[in-house]
Amino acid sequence: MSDDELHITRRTLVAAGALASLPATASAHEWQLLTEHQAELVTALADAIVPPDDNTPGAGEAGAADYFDKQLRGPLKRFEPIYHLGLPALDATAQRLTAKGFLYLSATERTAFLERVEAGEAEGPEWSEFTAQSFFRRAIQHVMQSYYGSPKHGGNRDAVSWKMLGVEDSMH
Amino acid sequence: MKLPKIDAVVVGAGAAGGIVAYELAQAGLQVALLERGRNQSFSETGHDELHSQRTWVLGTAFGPADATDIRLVRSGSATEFRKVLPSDSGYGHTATCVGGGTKSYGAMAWRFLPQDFRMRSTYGDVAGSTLADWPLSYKELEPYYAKAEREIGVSGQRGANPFEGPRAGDYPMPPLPLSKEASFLRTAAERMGHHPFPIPMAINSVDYMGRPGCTQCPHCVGFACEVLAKSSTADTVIPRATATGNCDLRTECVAKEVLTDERGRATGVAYFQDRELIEQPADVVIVSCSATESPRLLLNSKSRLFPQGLGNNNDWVGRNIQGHAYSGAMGLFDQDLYDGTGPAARVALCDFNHGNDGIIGGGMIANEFIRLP
Repeated sequence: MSDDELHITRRTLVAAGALASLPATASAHEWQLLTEHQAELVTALADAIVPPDDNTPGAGEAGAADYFDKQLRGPLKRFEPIYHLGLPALDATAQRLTAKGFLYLSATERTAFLERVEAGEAEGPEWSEFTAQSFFRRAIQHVMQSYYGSPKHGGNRDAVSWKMLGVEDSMH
Repeated sequence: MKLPKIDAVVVGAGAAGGIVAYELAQAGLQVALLERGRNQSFSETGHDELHSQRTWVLGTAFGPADATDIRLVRSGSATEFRKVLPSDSGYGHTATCVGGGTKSYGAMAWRFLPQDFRMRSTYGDVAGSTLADWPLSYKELEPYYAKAEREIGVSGQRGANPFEGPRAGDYPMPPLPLSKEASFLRTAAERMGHHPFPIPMAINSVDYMGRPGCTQCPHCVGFACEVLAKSSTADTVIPRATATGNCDLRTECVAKEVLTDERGRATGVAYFQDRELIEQPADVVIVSCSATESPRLLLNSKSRLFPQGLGNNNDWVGRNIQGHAYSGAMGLFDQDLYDGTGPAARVALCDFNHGNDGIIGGGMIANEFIRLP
């Protein structure tokens, strides 16, 4: 297993069909809005945007999907249709360009794929209402909010980003 | 419903409205102070970076509310509109609560420099601008600056800014101590021949008029102050105004229009409270709802004498609005400069406010309140 793959999240493993090897406590989260697949996509996307390192979990592992699931039903409701369309479109685009679903890419492959999305080089028939590039730009904002915002909103579990930045004491 | 006539009605309980209401109430006038927002407590918003006055991605923390204050913004043709929520970037919301912007401001407490009153005299007829002198001078206004600083509570160091106008007295409170970052920047600026000084802040550096000194948490701009060391009108002049017994603070009241008589004089204000239209007649009407909402109210106050809105027969109401023009720079340093203390903005210099070759005006330089990741 490469270093990249060591950081694969539990939910990604579930998607990869590794469920049988995981203990029962790893069963799927109860989502209010997202489907399990959407939550896995958000988690993987978030960990690509803010990746984990040896000391600190990435944005996905820190609960980006919890943030999306909660806030897209609340103050960010108006963006819900964008994710409803955009998450499967991103997955389909990965399939078109790499012959693998987004969840089946290694961390390195994901980053390479998202760099093409960011550069506007991944547009295609999956994107009609908005571009892949604008979707990704929006997702970066929401992932950053989840990771650096207050844990009470769903992301930044256990204030991991505040601890990393050394500002935890002054944030309460 | 038409209420009995009173002496004065003030629209907007923010920076200006709170002070005016206090002055009038203290002088014995019967005052109604209207505010479309609520009187908010600290616990409603806390220190939430995603729900604050500066970052409102999860909703505006100090109003207006997404649920009730949708705007229609013209898009393209005159008949095409799109809905914009207060938490959308295109809305341009201002704080809507008792205290207005002063509840969540960073609380820098600048006086204009003497030259700021004489922009046209200093810079001439600048093509493409409407640059004008103020109709009063720094000297005329100085006693009132001093009074406002005393009443609201401002800390600072007299004489530390060589560009400031003459002051008859000291600041009411000494300056807040410099942070690690501010000390570093001050030393560097001095070495470059500039004149850095502690920023005058409407934040108590010591206990003052019944409110405590700053505890130096870093949450000033964008947040309500947990200990009320920040000198909001909501925590200073407005409670003092209502304590006189002469000022009736009416929250969640949205002004509809300023009423006028057949001679064009203001006679009161019509406003909505719980969807009921109420008329409050008064001898004096003060419109103090911010640079955007005051013009809006005047433009909505149409009558036979003012068919384009009150005071707008020359089509100038709502023109020339100026916001903060802001630019920033970041630097990486060899040593750690963050000490987590507030207020983060602590040191400034006014060397470049005026007298810049080939430039109209200029600006002050200060260290920033918040740098988000």
